[in-house]
Amino acid sequence: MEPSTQNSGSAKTIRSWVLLYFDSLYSWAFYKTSSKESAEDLVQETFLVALKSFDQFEGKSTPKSWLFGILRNKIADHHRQKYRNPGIAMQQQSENSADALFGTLFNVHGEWNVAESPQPWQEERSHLLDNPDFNKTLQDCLGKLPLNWFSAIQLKFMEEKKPEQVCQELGVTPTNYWQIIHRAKLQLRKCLQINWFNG
Amino acid sequence: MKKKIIHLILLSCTRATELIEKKSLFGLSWIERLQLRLHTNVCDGCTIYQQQSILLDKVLRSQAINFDELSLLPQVKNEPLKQSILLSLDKASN
Repeated sequence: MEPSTQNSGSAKTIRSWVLLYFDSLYSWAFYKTSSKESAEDLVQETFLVALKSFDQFEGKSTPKSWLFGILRNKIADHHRQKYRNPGIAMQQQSENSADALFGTLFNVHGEWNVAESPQPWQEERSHLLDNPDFNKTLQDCLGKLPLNWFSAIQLKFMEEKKPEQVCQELGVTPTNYWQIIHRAKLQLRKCLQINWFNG
Repeated sequence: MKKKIIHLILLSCTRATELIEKKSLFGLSWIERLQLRLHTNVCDGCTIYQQQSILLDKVLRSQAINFDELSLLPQVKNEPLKQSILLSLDKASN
């Protein structure tokens, strides 16, 4: 960390937050990435961002949820970066390849291709959500989504925004929005099918 | 041609899965609801898709930060990192 330009007040406040929340932030990062190195980087970056953007913390949320919000975005970036070369405009390409998946799932009549037709999943829901390995697979699958598809998923489910808010933030029409969710979930389902349910 | 007519009434799977997602976001008109029900009555793939789509929603919602559940996570300690962050903050506040 190189916080030399920061004033001492914010550093003192953040210091008290480290004492209070470091353990739970680190545990969460570790749980989400299954990697000591990644968890260390992410938590360190989280406090660095907190220090740099301390002005933006206006007490609208609690320090705890503010810090976890920063960390959540860092974790999402982390999973995305694994599938993206930095510096190249990957989004469109990724969306094209994601669209190509659409073409393999359905035939020209819009029916499921025989091999792609969904088969029942054997696992109990409660079992799934408690399983760190499943969580890791889910994060990886989320990381493979085109960026704006992921944003739509994140805003809808993780931030629990209303459809109107999501449309506004993403700059899309309601029809665009549910079509994005549709494609994103088709891809997620397929990814989990391959990588978790082994089909 | 025959398929086109069937799909007009019974929907294609592409359209049916679209409506399944639309349903949870914006709701469906009565005619869409009827079309979807007729489709899932005869299409196993979309019936399973619908169940898995609902499960996926639950799984994705569980990714929201839930502080009650967070407190149940096993605590992983990393004292060296904690101390090093504290140290750099001390430097910053001096």
